[in-house]
Amino acid sequence: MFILGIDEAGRGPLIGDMFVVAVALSSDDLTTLAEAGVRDSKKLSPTARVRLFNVIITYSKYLFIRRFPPDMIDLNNINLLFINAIKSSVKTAYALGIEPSEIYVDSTSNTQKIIDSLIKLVRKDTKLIVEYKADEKYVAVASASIIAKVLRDAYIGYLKTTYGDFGSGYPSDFRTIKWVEEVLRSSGSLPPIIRKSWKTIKKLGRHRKTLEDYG
Amino acid sequence: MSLCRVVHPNAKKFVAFLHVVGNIADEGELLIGNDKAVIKALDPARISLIEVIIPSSTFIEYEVLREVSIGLNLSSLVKSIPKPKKADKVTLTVVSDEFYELILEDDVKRRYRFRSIEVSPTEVPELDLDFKVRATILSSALRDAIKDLEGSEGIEFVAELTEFLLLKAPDLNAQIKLSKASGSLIELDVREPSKSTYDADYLTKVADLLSASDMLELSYGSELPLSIRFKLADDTLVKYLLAPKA
Repeated sequence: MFILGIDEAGRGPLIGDMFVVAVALSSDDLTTLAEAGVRDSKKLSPTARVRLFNVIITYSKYLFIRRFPPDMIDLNNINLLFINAIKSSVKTAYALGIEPSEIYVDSTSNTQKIIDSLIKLVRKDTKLIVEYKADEKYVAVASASIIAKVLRDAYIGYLKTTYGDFGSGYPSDFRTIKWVEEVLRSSGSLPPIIRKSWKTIKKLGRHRKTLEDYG
Repeated sequence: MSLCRVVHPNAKKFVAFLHVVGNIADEGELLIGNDKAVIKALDPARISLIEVIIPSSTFIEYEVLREVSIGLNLSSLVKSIPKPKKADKVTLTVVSDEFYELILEDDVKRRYRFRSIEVSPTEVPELDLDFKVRATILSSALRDAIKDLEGSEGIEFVAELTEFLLLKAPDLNAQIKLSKASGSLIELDVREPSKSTYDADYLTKVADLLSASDMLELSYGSELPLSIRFKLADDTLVKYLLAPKA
C-alpha cells in the first residue's frame, strides 16, 4: 500500500524558488522512517536533514519535485502554484502506476481549495488528509518536508556563492533586508532571485521613521 | 591581569540573552561597569533597540578593574557557543580591550576566545517621548498575544478606555483584548486615546524572553515608539524600544 506525502519549502521567503515535493512510501516503511528520526524538517538540524534525505530517498517508491522561480511566483498566485504542483504530483504518480491509498498534504491557508481540487482527481476510495501542520503529524509529509528543505537549502547555499550572504531570505530577517537594500542602492535594480511582488520589496522605497527621528 | 572577570550562575540564560539580542542585530555592545553589565544592540534599520541590564548582584563573582566596552560579533558568537546545560555557569573575562573569553563550566570546561569588534554606536539621541498610554500587563498574556498574531504585517495597539487594551492584526482579521476583567491587564493609564502599529516580526523577537518574567510595563502613543520593560526573576532588566510602522 502506498502513502503519498506532499509539502513545500520556500513559500514565505522573498528570495529564491519554492520547492514542492511529493514522496510515495510503502505503508510498511513509515515506522522505519519514524524510528530513523524522520519528523517535521523545522525540528531537525541541517545535518540531520541531510542524513534523513538519503534515508528517505532509499525508501521512496516515487519522488516528485517541482520548483517555482521568483519570476513565476511574481506573475501567479503562489497558493495556486502550490495547488497545481500537488495536482501534477498525483497525476504523475498515477501515470507511473503508483496508486496511493492515502494522500497527506500540508496546507497553510487553502485547505478547502486543495481538497476540492484533489477530490476530482483521486481514486474513489483514496483517503485524503489536508491539514495545517501535517508535517508535524504524518511521517509521509515530514519526509516530503525534509526533501524539500534539503533541496532548497542546497540551492540557497549555491545562490550565496554568487550573490553573497543574504541571510535566511525571509522578510523578517534584518540581514536579508539589509542585503536587499544594499543591492538596490549599489546597482539600482533587483537581481532575479528576489520576489519583486512581495510586499516587503514594494515597501522598500518608502521612508520609515527610525528611533532617532524621535530625538 | 584581566580588565574584568564576571561569573554568571546560569549559562543557559546568559546565552539566551545573546541569542535574543543577536536576533535584532549582527553586532552589539557589552558594557561592564562597577554595578552592572549591559548587553545592547540597535538593529541596522535603527528602528529597534534592546538592552539587557544585569545587576552585579546577579553574578556569583564580579571583579571589575575598570569599566569596559566590548564590541560583540553576535552572529558568530551565538553560532560558536553550543547550547549550555541548565547547570552550567559562565565566566566572562575581558582579557584586554581587544579580546574576551567565555568559559562554560559544568562537568567539562569549555573555553571560547573572541576578538572585540568595532561596532556602530548603539546610542540613540536622548529620546523625548511623551507616552500617552502606560500599561502593566501579565508577561504571559502579551507573549501569547504576540504569538497568536504572528505572521501579520503589523500589530495595532489601541487604547481608548482604561479597562482594556486591544491588539489588532487587520490582515489576519484578528484581535486580542487584554483586560482587567480577565486579569491579563493589571493597570492602564490612558492620558489620550492612542493607536499605533508596530512590526509583528520585531515584536516576536522579544516575545520569547517574556516567558521568564511575570509582569511588564508597556508604554506607547499614537505614532510614537513602543516601550516594553520587564524584570526577570534574578532582577535582570530588559528594555525594548520599537519605532512605529510607516
